[in-house]
Amino acid sequence: MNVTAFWERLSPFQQDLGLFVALLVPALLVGLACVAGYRPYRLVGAMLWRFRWTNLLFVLLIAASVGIGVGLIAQERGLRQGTARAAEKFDLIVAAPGSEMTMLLAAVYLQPADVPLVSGDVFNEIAANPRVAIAAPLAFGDSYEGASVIGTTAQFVTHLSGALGAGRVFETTGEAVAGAAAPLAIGDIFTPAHGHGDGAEADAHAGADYRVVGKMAPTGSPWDRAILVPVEAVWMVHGLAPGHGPEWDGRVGPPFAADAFPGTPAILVRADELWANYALRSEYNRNDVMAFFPGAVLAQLHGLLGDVRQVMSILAIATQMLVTAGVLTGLVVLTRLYAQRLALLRALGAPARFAFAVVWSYAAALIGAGALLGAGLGFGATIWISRIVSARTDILVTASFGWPEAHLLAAFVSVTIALAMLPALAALSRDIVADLRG
Amino acid sequence: MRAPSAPETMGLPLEIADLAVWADGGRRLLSIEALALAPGACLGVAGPSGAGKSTFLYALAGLSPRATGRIGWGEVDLLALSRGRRAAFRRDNMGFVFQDFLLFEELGATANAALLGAFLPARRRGALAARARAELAALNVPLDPPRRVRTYSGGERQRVALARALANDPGVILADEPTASLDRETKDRLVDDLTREVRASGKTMIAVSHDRALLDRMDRVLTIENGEVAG
Repeated sequence: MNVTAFWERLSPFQQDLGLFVALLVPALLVGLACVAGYRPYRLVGAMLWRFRWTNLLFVLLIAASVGIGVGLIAQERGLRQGTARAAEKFDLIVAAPGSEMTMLLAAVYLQPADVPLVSGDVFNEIAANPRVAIAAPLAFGDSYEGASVIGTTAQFVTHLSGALGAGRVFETTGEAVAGAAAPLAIGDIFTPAHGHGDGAEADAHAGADYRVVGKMAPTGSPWDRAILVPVEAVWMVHGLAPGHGPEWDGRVGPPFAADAFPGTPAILVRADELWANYALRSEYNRNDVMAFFPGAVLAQLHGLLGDVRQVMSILAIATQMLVTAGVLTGLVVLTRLYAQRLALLRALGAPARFAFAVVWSYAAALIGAGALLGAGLGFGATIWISRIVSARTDILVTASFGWPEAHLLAAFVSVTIALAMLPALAALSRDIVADLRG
Repeated sequence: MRAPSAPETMGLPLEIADLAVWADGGRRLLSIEALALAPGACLGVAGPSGAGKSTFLYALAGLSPRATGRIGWGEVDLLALSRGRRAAFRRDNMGFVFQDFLLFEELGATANAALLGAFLPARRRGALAARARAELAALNVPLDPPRRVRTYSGGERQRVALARALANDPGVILADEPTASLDRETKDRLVDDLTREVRASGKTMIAVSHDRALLDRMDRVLTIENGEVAG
């Protein structure tokens, strides 16, 4: 069995672990070969302690550069996973022709946007399509204390939240379901404002009150701060037709009457089977309407993020190379400070390999400590930044320590420790007698 | 006082023939046609500064990169050995005492005295440590409470260095101005300690010094001037 075939039969975890070990092995082997049979640790400890402030500075320098690299990788992945998770429930969006990106931001991430509406004919056509399992209007535009108020159907609430965290789904136009992080509790009564933010007209909908009857389970998306109401209520609050004919009994939800359907900015569509989503997307990409996969638009965005990540990675690697060069220069200087003691060891009969082992262990201790501290710093920074991003966007960004960071760390440690042999070799070529005399 | 289990090595005889040490530029720093020392002999090396005394001492240790001729320690022609074998010979046969002690200031007295244990084969570490402790005790180095040697006085530090030189029970002690960094009273004590310990174990000693008190205790004094033996 050849190596490639063997490698491909391993699980991803085994491959990641294998790569990690393979990256670290050169450093470990060099270390074992250097130190075998000797006990240089007390001397190395004495060296570390003697120049402790200089050494600490070196460790911090290494830690900063490693931290930046680890943090960038972990943060980018956290953002990518967080935004993807937030878009998970949005299989296919149908909207009036326009910018897919604007619609993605408005419908999935609830960023306010003025967009044209889709008519009731189109909605009923989609709802009547046998391959469609869910067709829900998403009518955004109103807000309450910064939280978006979205008109939709009970089916969508269940789709988004699964079982509610508490209470029940709305049944009349006066009822609402609040997101897990929305500023409302069950039983609260509120009046929505027209629009969002500073431009919102607080009293435009005076008298149109909702009572909160349910609270969604957390979804890790901006919808956690949203308030969901029957779409009929949104229309009525704006003085439009209620979506149903004159004989309507007041029960909210489909079917809607096309001629009484004032329009909706977006429709969430979910097919009964995965493949059918593709058919639906082609079917509803035409002159009067567009259909797109939020996941695909997001993938484009992530592709762009990926390019940024590559630029950042090059920057991070360049930083690390600079830091490594600085560390090596510093090691040469520190080795000179210690030249008399190294010359002493060799005068007393220490083999060249022992003097080499002392310098190398010293360098390895600085690099190892710096790399570990850097991993901690990078991970800590990621946790902190993720919390801020989650708090500001309601997109749940979780920090995790993944294999790419471990690989970066192992590669950095291995390369730098291998390079640390240069100062160690430089220390060996010095004149013992001259160094002994100081 | 001494570790009873460790037998003491007798001093090594020295025989020098046509020894010359050269500077990088090809200038001759030192030239000694012939010199012989019996095992256990104590040789003082005197002479003006820069005359080649230390060059002589380091050549005897096999540390000079450009030395020709023969330096015979017992059966061994040191200059015929590779650098690695010379290092092994020093480790097994030579103890050093330097003018400015050259201790590891951040380590304790015991760790400094047993310094060779860091690179000695594991089976010899135990005996080395025992002998290092015995020498420190014999030299009255205060060990309790344990502290770093940087906190010791000059005389104490040089005694720690002396214990380090004796800890591997070498056949030869090479001392480079061992009393030059000490005050008069401490000098005298160190001269006593050094000669007593070396002679008690029959080691061969070569001590470079300006210190009359030390030179007077040697069997023989060699004066080096301008790189040559003057008397």
